[in-house]
Amino acid sequence: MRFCTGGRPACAGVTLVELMIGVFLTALAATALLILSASTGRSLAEMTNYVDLDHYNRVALDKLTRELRQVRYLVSVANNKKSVTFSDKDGLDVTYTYSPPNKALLRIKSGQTTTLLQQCDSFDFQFFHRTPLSNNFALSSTSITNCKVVSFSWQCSRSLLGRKVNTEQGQAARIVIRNKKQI
Amino acid sequence: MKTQRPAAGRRRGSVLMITVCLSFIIGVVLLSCLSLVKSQNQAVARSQAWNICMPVVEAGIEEGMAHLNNKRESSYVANGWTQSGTDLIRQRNYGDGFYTVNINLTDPLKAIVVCTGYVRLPVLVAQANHPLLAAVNSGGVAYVCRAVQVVAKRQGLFQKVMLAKERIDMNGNGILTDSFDSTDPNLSTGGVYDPAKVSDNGDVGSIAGLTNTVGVGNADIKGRVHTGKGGTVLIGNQNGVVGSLAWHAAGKSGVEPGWANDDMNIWLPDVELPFTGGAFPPVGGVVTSNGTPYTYKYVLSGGNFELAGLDVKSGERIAVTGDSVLLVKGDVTMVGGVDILPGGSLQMYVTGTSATLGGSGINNAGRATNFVYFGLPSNKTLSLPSNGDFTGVIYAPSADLKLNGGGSSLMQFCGACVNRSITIGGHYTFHFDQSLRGSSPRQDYVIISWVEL
Repeated sequence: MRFCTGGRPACAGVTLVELMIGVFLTALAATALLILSASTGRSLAEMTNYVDLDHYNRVALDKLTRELRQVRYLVSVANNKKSVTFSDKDGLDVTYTYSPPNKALLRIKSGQTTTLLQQCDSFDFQFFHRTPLSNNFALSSTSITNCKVVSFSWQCSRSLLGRKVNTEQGQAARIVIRNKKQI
Repeated sequence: MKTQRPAAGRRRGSVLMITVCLSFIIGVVLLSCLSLVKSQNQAVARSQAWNICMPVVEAGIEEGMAHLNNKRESSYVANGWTQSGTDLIRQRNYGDGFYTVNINLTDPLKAIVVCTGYVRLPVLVAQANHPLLAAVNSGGVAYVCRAVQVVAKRQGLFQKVMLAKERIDMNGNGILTDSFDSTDPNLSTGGVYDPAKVSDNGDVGSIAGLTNTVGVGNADIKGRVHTGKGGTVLIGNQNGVVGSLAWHAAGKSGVEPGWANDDMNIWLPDVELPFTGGAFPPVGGVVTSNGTPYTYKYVLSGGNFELAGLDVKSGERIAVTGDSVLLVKGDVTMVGGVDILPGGSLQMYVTGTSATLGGSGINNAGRATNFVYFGLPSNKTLSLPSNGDFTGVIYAPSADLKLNGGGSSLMQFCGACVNRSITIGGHYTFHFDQSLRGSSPRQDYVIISWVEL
């Protein structure tokens, strides 16, 4: 066996212990990098997911409020309150249906179906009367005929790699039907 | 065993490459994150501006409606409004934005109000210059804008045969409501009520939300009954009927489904003085009709008249031969009568606490609008103990109306009434003249349609 002396770099080497420590440290750094990458990637995916969810929710909310504000009156409500039909501003019926199996909110008018929301976990409509109660600011629930105010709320979520990661619970609005007239 | 260290220069190169790669990856991820956050922020900011626009637009519509209904100004060109042809235009700054209102009065009874609201876009969005974040440019500033068109109509004061703020009690026998149209030969004969040509618009309404707000008793209401929220209609054990002509013809009793509703919510404005000066006291005279001279206590031949009180005793009469306005600044006691002669019409304003229109009542062979009774807020009671038919309209939202008289015979009330409460003790049949909806004294502009453009 021959040992190199420190004065000759070309012959310099590392001991087995040094090598093992080096390998260990490299593995540690690689693992940390991997975890960091995975975490960053997942966070980015989640953020993208949320931005997308938020975008679709906001567009749906803006569209619904704009449309409901100018319908004429409420025509019918399904027993489970998941499907409502209004007389639209042009006199044609427009139906908003929430389909729990498909987790989708659909808008149906003149035979055309448009999907307003997808991956929607729940959707609720509420209906209120025009006339205020005395000494009370609360709205009172109403029959279909007298519906002047429509309230709705929903909850959507998105999954990533089979796991639910994003939810949007704050989407709710209360719309006064401007064109509803006294009968 | 011999292990060699790599040369120092090669070691430094590897570290550099790894560092560059890592920095690149982290940079891309960071950039993506920031980009996402930025685009979301822009979308949220624009959405907020878009939604803020609606209150701005509706503020403009409110101003337009207030301007249309402003009775204090004698001209529409006031308070910053300008006129261009039949259009009235106003622009007003509102917070960070502004709105423009355009009122088209081509049809003075049907105003078209278009309001466009502008809300300044946040710089974040304005500078993005993204096609999905569209904006309008005004004076170098980016705005988001929305526009709404409303149609406002001046409807007649009288939309129902009976309208009250509080209870309506039909205690008499043989009470009936239906409708006709004095301008439609299919619903009247010679402009007069014809029992063979009636319609089912004899609506009754009260804005009160009380139990038994409308006591129908055994009346036949050929029309709808409206109450305020929670108000109910009392039929009781009697044989009252509310519904369509078909419902009545079928001999059914009670309320036809859908013909009673607790959705009534309207505002009944107070009556104001018709004038504050320049009126004359009326004087008596002789009016010749068909060659026969008749002596009248007062002859109202047209113009404005004023009295401190009106007391028409038995045998005394008032003749109305022209379009007249009579302001009575006191109580009214009428035991005689009023003759509305051809070419005459009377608007009677009463400030006194009580008024009684008895005797032979108002003899009006013409349309209901030929006699209009206005009770000012100080007018608290109005009685019609008349033994004659009544053709006219009553608008006294602070007065309790009591209808008695008639004995066993049925009396006709052709027209409409608006009162604080209505109590019917006599045998009255009420016939609503549907033409009143469009031709009676006008109320303020009311929005009848709302469309976002």
